[in-house]
Amino acid sequence: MHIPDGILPITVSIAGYALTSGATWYSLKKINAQENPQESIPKAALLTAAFFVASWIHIPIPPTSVHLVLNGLLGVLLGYYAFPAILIGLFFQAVMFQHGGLTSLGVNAAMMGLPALFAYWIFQFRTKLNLTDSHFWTATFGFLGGAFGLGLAVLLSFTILVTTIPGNIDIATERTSITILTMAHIPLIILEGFLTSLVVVFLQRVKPDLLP
Amino acid sequence: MNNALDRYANLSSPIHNWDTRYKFISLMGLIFAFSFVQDLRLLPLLLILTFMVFIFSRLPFSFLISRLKYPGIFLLAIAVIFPLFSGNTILLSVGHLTIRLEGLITLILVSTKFFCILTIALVLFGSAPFLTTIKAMRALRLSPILSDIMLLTYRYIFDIGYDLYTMQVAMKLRHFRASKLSFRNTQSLSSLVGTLIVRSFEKSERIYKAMILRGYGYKATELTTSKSIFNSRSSDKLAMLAFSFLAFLIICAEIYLRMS
Amino acid sequence: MSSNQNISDPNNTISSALEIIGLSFSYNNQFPVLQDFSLVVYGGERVGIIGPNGAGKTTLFLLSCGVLIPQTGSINLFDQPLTSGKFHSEIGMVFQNPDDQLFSPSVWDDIAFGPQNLGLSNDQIVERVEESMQITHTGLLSERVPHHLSGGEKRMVAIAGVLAMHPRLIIYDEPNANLDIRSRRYLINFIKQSKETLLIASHDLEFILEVCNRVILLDEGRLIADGNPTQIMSKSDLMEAHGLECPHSLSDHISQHHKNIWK
Repeated sequence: MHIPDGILPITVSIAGYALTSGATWYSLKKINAQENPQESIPKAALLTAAFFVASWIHIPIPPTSVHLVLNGLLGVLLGYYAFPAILIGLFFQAVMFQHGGLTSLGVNAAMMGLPALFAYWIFQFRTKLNLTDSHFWTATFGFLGGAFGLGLAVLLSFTILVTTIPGNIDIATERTSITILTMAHIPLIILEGFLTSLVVVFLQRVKPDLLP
Repeated sequence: MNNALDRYANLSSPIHNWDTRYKFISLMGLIFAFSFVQDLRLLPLLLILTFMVFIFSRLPFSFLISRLKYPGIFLLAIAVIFPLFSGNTILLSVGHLTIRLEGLITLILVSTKFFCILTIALVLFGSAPFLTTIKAMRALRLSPILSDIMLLTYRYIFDIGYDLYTMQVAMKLRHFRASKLSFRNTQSLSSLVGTLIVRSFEKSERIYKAMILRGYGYKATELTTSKSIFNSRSSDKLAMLAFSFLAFLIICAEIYLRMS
Repeated sequence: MSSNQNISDPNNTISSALEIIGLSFSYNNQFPVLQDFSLVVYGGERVGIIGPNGAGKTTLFLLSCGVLIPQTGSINLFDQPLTSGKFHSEIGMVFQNPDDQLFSPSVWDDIAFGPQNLGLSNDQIVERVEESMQITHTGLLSERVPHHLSGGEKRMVAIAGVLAMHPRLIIYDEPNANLDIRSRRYLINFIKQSKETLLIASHDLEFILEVCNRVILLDEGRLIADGNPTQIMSKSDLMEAHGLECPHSLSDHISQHHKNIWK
């Protein structure tokens, strides 16, 4: 799902960086506008580290196992901070583990970060509809946030990959391959939605301040 | 981590001794220039440059192999679709599979670029302590908020990773089988993720208190001291100019080849 | 405390609980943490493990549980060979930091975690949890969030979670760390009445004196001394040579500073 170096044309690479810079700039503006921006720095850093580490956890999907992505959960918990957190997390992954890429960092951050913000937006309905006390609704919105967070990221990544790879592949084949690749990830998307909903309910019981 | 990125950061080589700020600009510029290349004829140049940079870094070849092995396999798994599906000129047909010329060219292009970019990146980030590289990025005008977050994140990844490891051992000692997929297991894993998040958050509150007791946040301080740790020599700047020129040449060559 | 090796088995009908033969271990081919280490722990013993930090105690424990794989040597648990990587319900470990062990949203859930993994029926699970809570007096904490408990409470809940597995050998890694005086006394009384074979690592030497009937001094991965706690811990040369001191009750008293007890 992370796009590696060497595949994307430079135009897409740069467009990704432009988008990511814009979103990051906006997030930083929000952080700087706070009364005490330094206070949120350890929090953002430790949670970025926690998510980075959490993505090492394997979930069994027979016959194999997969890593958690958790961009939906990150979006739900961090809101606008999710974007810098994802950008930094992806940067570390690229540099420390050669997972993802440096030229594709902008694209990867955008395609994971924007769905994370979308997940946050979905989860906000829980607050707007005054359902924050209900475990059921917390779980439901958690599920939607987690599933859409990953689902959109998967869709975006395959769309970008398939449409920008060099060579002539006709539109119909492109569309089919995007559909098939995305559909293949549906079990993982549902699993992650499910896991996100469980984590969110756990947090509601153990540390409700963490939830927006 | 035995194969840690920083493992060979204390060697001495022209690359190691290069001011990290100029090194960052030069090698990242080279990486992007490589990324721009679409013409097969430039690949030998890329490979030669990559090879030379690597030799100058004095990093062990075993380090490169161990770091590139798994990402390389991952890339090939994706890139194998090119010769099978991309392009119209069929080179050979084996049963239902056809190998196409254009796709094969793309495969060679993508794999070579991937290899070159990752090698240069490994040289860039492996020839200095990672923290130094982050400070260099700050010196190059990266936002102080981002660089502070990066420093702290890097500092605590290993602590939190150890917390996770210990928690997983404790779960295993109570007969938790991570390979079984079940509702209860997913619930346990979600409690694990949740606990990790809560512990990390509470740790951050303690860290913040310790930091402000030593003056952080007062008068807009930051964790990175931007320029004082870097002392550049004129050779550092010259090297940067040389590399920038090389990157520029590569881009021009590519444009020229595209137009002709 | 009797210095006999099998205090609960005067006729020597119980064989060894833990038998370690020639164990060597190092992390990632670095310097060895344990070197040719051998030890036999008999059923019913309470063995204290003392030594400076970095002596290899935690590594020894993880090897004994089958979590780490030794480079050489073998381990037998209750006369069965220990297979690394496999789960062995006879041995349980209480970690130094209860936060590493407690991860469920409620105390009840956390204690039930082990029995659930054993595949027990719901009735059996409830029975085990209640039994553990009763032994550790943590019943009132049943619905609380483990995270919000005090240090002493967390310690007892972690113990309850291990007890619910019905282990025959329990390892305590620094159980007194970060406990206040009251919780420490509570823990001492608790351990004194426990029936399992125990391996206890601690820097709290008075605690070891009170609770253990055998002590092992470990330093740089080697067994330095093994025997009666009072005899070993009163040897100041030995203790100081290995980064320790005699506990107060065994040290030479030059001046009179105790309360007058000879009434």
